[in-house]
Amino acid sequence: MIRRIAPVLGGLVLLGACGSAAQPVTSPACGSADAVWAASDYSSSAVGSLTVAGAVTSTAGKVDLGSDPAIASSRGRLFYVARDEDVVFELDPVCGTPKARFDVHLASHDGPSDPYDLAVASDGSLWLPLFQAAALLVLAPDGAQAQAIDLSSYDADGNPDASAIAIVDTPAGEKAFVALDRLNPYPTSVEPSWMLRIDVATRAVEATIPLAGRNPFGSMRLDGTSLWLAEPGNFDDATELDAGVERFDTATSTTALVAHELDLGGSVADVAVAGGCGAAIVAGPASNVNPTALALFDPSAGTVSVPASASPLATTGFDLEGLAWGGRALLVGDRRRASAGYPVHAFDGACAPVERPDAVFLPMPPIAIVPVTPP
Amino acid sequence: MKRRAAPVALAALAFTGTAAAQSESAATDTGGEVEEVSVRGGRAANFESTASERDSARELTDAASLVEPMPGVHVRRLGADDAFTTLSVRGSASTEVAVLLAGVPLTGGADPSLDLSSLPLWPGAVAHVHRSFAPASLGPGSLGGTLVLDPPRANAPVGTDVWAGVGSFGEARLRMGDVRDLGGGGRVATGLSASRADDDFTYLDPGTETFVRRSNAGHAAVDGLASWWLPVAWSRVAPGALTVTVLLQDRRQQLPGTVLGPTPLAFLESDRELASAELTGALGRGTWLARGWGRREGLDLHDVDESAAVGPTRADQTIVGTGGAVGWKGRPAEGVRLEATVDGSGERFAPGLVEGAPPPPGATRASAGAGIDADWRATHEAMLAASGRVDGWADASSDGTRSGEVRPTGHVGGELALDAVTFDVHGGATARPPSFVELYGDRGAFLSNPSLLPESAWTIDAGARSARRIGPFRFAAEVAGFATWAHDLITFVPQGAFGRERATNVGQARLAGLEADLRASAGPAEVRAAYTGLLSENDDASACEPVAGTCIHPQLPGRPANDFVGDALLHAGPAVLRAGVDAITGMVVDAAGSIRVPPRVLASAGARVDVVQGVRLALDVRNLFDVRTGTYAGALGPVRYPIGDSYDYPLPGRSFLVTARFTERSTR
Repeated sequence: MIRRIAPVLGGLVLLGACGSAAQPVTSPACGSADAVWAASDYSSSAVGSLTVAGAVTSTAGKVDLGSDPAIASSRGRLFYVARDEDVVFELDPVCGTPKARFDVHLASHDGPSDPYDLAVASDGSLWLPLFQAAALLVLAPDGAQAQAIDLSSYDADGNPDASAIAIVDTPAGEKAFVALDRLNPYPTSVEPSWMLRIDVATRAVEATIPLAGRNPFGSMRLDGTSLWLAEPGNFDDATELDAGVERFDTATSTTALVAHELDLGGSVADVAVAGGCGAAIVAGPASNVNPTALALFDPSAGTVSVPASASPLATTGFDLEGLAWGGRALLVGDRRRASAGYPVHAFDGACAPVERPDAVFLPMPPIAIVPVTPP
Repeated sequence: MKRRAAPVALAALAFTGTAAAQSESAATDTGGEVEEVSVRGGRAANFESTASERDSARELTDAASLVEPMPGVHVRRLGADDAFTTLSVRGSASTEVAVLLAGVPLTGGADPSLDLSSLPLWPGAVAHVHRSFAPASLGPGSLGGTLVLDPPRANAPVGTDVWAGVGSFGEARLRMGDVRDLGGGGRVATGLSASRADDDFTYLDPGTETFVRRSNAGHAAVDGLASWWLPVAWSRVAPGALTVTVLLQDRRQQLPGTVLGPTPLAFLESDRELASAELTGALGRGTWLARGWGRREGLDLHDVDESAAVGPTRADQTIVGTGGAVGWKGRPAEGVRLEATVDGSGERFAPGLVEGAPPPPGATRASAGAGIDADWRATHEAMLAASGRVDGWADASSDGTRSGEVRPTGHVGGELALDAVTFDVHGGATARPPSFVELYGDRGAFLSNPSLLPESAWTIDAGARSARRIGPFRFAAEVAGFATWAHDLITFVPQGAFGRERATNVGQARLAGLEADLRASAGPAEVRAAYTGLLSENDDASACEPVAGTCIHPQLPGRPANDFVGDALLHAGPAVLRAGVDAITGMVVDAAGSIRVPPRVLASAGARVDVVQGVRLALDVRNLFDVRTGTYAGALGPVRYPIGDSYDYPLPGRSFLVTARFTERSTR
């Protein structure tokens, strides 16, 4: 089964303070934008940009956008990952409009390859974990398939469920960090999850590092030398000791759980960290309900300032998807339709958020939100 | 005069002279001594289309191709002939169409959406499609329509038909039908059909933009049928008849998967056994009837661990159903016809060996109902009709969950036959009980919801028909409009972090359309055409087009706005030449109504020659111009994808079929 609900945010390149930009980033093509979004009802999808003030652009009704999207962000470039189509579109980094297409179907694998994320290396090559193909695909800068690194040996069931990637310049050189969920028996999380470290220059696997938490979910967020991981463990259990928000230090390849799901009040489905503020979408353990809520934590100390039980935003189902700091606000996507569309809630006040009146409405249920960064 | 107002097909009345003659037309042969009165009110009760295997303009490959040219009908194929095929009537979902074979319901709680490719076809088979409303005597109704497939009847003319064909993609088909006297007034009809195909056509892979070959798409099937008709003398003045029908089917169906997720090793093995017995006798001013039936279906799914389908690697299941009905039909008063029926049935779904996934729960349904069909010829020109049922059902799951409901349905209609044109109008309510998977889930992707209500709808329709002969020009035409308001529609809604789907009664929809059917001839030229225009709106609160602002409800996916099937035939001595068109436009594939399927216009051609008495050879070419791709809107501009109702399931390009038919009729 495809984990279609993974709200994939690309490795966010977060700037120093809470929020990425004081003013929306402008582009001659589309005006200004604070964030790029992807949305889907799992039948068809849309992608576009938004400003916190409420301006929204969108591309919808296109067959090759598929029905199970994600957004990846790396080295200032944005990509729309059509998981079910085995296709990736590079997006205009401000407008969110598709501008180039890459076929990422691995011909040597029967069935869908299922790309989950994308990272850009310094040489311009594109690296993608293929969730169902148990491989890491490397595209040359021109989009040609250059290499597929077999990952099947990293789990006894022949597929370690590679779900996210980040490429980082470390003291030891440029490295690709690939999160392996290792869901075995699928889709339960029993085994320890791993981080795979690959040397980008040689494309050789250097190390497998056991993660402190299980089941890294969605993309990892790059903050300086740290990768932030949302790790729900199993969604029907919100008391697992090895689940929560994890910080992986790319310089030392060491890692630790920072905030535990028990303290946050639910399994972590998404995380966004900016400066001294951490936000997470957490889901309750009720099976096949998983009510979501916004929780806040201190990324340095790991203390939870706003647990799910005191959340300013909570839903009765698995409705919150898409979380990002953008336009000096915390943006949270909501899949419950309001009269004007699907709201993106904007919170001011950084670590003590105050919700603005809803002004941003998307045309389809949100999946992912990524801040636009100034060029 | 025996007035056998059997369901009147447009084909059957094509060249009758007056409207009055239309409503009294006898469509089939007279069988035995008992006067048959079918109280279905002509079109005063409902709009019905009929297609006969013997009367088709095209060489038929399967049962789906028999019903495909009917107005109001859309056949959705997920591949070549014999691939998974479903039926939509007036924009209904396939789960909302009831299917009966030889009077036995093939759809039920366990299998509400019948794969038409699993239906057998024999020489002499006749299909009836009741659009929206169906006679109460057929049993529990449906929301969207009813398909009745009649196998060769024992009271058909004595004789033998053999039809054989070979064609593209490894296609080979054989159909045999035989009707003979048993002596003493008895008859027996037997049918045998067999088919196989590889269906390994090429299609455009949108990823690589190259044509690749479809694999693991073949099938092999064999079907056998026997039907006995035996006169029964209850008394010297009360003759009757016993009709017994037995059907056996066995099939192996390869499952190719989707374009992006092919499943090269998946296949289904299925079998179906069916038996019915019907006893009739004279009673008062009519006929009493008692019918019993039984059905068993086995379905075994085989796949491998590495399959792209990501489902069970083995899933066996058995469906067993049995039922019966008693009734009376006749003329209790001058100008009044009445048919009253009480029926009941039981159905059991039992999962068998399941590997690679949790086994679904077993389930049972017990149903009982009563219905009345009546019509009254108020004047020479006017007829009124009414049909009503009360159905109750009690469902139970192997996990102990129980549910049930009592639901009345019914409709009224009227017909006004003027000299040149006959007008019909109907209105009423229809409903569909939830299926087992909707109620109880499958312990995998689908969650249970035992509190589901039946889907229900209000429908009105009205139409006019005429059949005239003006010099050498003859025509029969029917035009009908319809509107349906459906509510409590069952929609699967994703739940929780894993998006497992739970059936919910959140759906609402409005549908309106126009149906037209035409047969015309002038000298050696003949035209047959059917058109369905459909406007639909998904009024589900969460169904909106992908634009911010006030919700704009989209059209329903998978339903063409325009569906046309037409054939022009030229008769030249023993030969018939044919040119045909199948056109579909205005379809969307997604729930938001934003991805439009490109218009599809496929041409076909054929020729038939009666080489000697009783021997006919034919050649049919479908998709004459080898249309294999359509242009969709893509993120960077137009993109080519395979043709089909769903681009994930491509349709084949040009194909050929060569057939031979041998017919022998008894002179007795």
